[in-house]
Amino acid sequence: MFEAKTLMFIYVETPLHAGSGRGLGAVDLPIQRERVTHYPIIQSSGVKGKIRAEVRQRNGWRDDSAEVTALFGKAGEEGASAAGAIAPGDARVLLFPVRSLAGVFAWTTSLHALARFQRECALVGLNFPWLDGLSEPPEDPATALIGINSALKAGESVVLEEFSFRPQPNEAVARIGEWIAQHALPPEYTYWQQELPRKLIILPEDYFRDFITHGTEVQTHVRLDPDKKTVQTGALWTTESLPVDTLLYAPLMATRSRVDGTKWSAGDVLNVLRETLHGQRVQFGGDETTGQGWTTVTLAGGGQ
Amino acid sequence: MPNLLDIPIPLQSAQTFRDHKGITNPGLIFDRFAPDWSGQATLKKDGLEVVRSAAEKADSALLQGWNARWEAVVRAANAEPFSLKTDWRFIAGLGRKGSLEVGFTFHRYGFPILPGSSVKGIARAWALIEIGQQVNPASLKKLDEILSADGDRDSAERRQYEAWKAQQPKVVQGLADDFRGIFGTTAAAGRAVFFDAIPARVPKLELDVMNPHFPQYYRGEAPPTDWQSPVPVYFLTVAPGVSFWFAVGWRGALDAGQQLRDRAKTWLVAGLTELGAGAKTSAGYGYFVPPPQLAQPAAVTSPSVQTAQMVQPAPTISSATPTPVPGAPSMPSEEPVWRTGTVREYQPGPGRGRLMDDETGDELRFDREAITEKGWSPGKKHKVHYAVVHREGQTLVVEVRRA
Repeated sequence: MFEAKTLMFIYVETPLHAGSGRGLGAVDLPIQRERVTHYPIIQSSGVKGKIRAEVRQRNGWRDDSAEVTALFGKAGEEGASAAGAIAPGDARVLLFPVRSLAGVFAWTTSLHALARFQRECALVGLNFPWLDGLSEPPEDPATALIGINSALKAGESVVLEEFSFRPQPNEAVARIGEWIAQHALPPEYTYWQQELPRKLIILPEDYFRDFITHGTEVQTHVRLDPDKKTVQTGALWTTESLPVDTLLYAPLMATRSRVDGTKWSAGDVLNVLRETLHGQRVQFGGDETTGQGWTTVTLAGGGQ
Repeated sequence: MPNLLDIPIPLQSAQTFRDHKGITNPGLIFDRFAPDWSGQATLKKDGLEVVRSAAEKADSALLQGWNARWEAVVRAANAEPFSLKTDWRFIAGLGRKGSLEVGFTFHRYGFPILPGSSVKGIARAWALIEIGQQVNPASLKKLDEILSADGDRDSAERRQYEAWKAQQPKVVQGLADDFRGIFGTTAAAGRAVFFDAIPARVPKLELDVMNPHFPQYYRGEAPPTDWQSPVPVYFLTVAPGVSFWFAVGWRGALDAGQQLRDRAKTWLVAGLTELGAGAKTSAGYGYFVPPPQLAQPAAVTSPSVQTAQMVQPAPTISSATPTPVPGAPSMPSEEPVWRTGTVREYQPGPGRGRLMDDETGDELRFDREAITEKGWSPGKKHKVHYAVVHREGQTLVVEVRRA
């Protein structure tokens, strides 16, 4: 039984490759995705592993210390193993950036993505501003919702990559943008906080799915022969990653510590995470040595 | 602007593209709004020209916000950012597939970047050369294989590496271990983190052309004869004199004295100034230079001097290590202010001149080192953009370029 819950936002600042191994498709090294919706994710085991490494390192705790065991559990002989007090969920996509003819790029989302997000918010006791007017998708399949003062309008349309949409201004969009900017973006992000309500767009589900499926970053890599400066045989590969300005969120759930000797309540457990991670820069996923996967982590809400 | 029907995308999008004037993402135009030039090859150049002029209107507020965020990220990774300027034109991603025949690496924000993986490759290539100068290997590839040995301590591959190392002088042993620590092997990740290099201010793009005179010969169809028509191939480049930010971070705690991280940075700077980045480095593209050192403006690093120094095998590490590390300027104070002015006088002989600021009317002196475009002598009444920094109560002109 989980006694305390919070939401962890992960704002992507350099391309993030949470890899799923070798792919059989067009990209050699694809990213992790949900089976059914094909939304990009970071699997919960990856999220937990990263949290563990960060908490351990930032607090200077040993891997077998009582604190780490209490938070993350321990595998061992029968009778000596214990479950951890923290259970993260998969990190899912809320906002996905797509290039725009006006305003350089847009943060896109869909009603489906927002509805799932709202469900998680309710779970952790966050009040996400959802308006009735938004719950019905517009009838015209190419209509997208934008804020009243949107920066995305080029003439009478919004053009994302080479696709054009009929924009429909809606008050709720800017309000949602402001809410996300306030809760999920670190305070020093003044520029990005101001831009988010102006560049947020709610796309029809099919288009959003197309963008998150085909609009990720695909980088081509080669390895050069140091003598000839030509590509070595077989050394050309492509890597997929989540682009800069993607916003992910993952629920964090906690129980009281199950290990004898530590008297942490579920609230204490989340407090440890909040103090260690809130507002910090954390690196997720692969290719760390080429500067990939840097994010800012923000914890919001803490329903009991 | 190409004809509407020549852009092979949905008509509504093409129409918006034609009618909307404030497009600020040149990368998007380059990738998606290129004209179909199959019937008329000149459209290729027009398409690139649209991209080039859009780059002049790129969003500088966004670039500033991005610069600040980038700096916060690299500092979180224990890096000290430093800047280098393009010496001559620079092309990243020429080989990428693009509808205009030649590629170019644009960030999603529409600015040119040099990806972290390229940055790391350049530093690594230079490190190999530097170690190679000491040990004279049969080939650098062989040396690379030895240095990248994987496996546990007592595996055959590692034993081979240890045996090789034992025969080397102390200096090489140290360099070899540094190399493995910094760049890693496939068994253990490197400790150094090489970040994407990003422009420090809105960069200017320029069109360039290569003009193969014997196209049929290169396609293997005919001997190289004079009656073949040359086919100009246009491509995009970053203009000379554009500053980029670079950063080398470190995973985990920094080593004592930060020597390893600083060595990684030294190797990177040497690679960027000596080997160059991106495409066509053997034709002079892609070389970087440190920004002019304000204390000794005359001692602007000249690549030729360093190259001469590098060719001779150097006896010790200290002299083998090139010195153009530009210190680590903190970002805001080093950033020059750009203004416009009019040239009053310029003497090409001594390379000195005066210019007057268009707004304030102040008269300032400048010298040849400040002129971005090599070999350009600004004439009287020429309009110029120039960059000034304030130092010890004086206003110094550090860069002058054509307006």
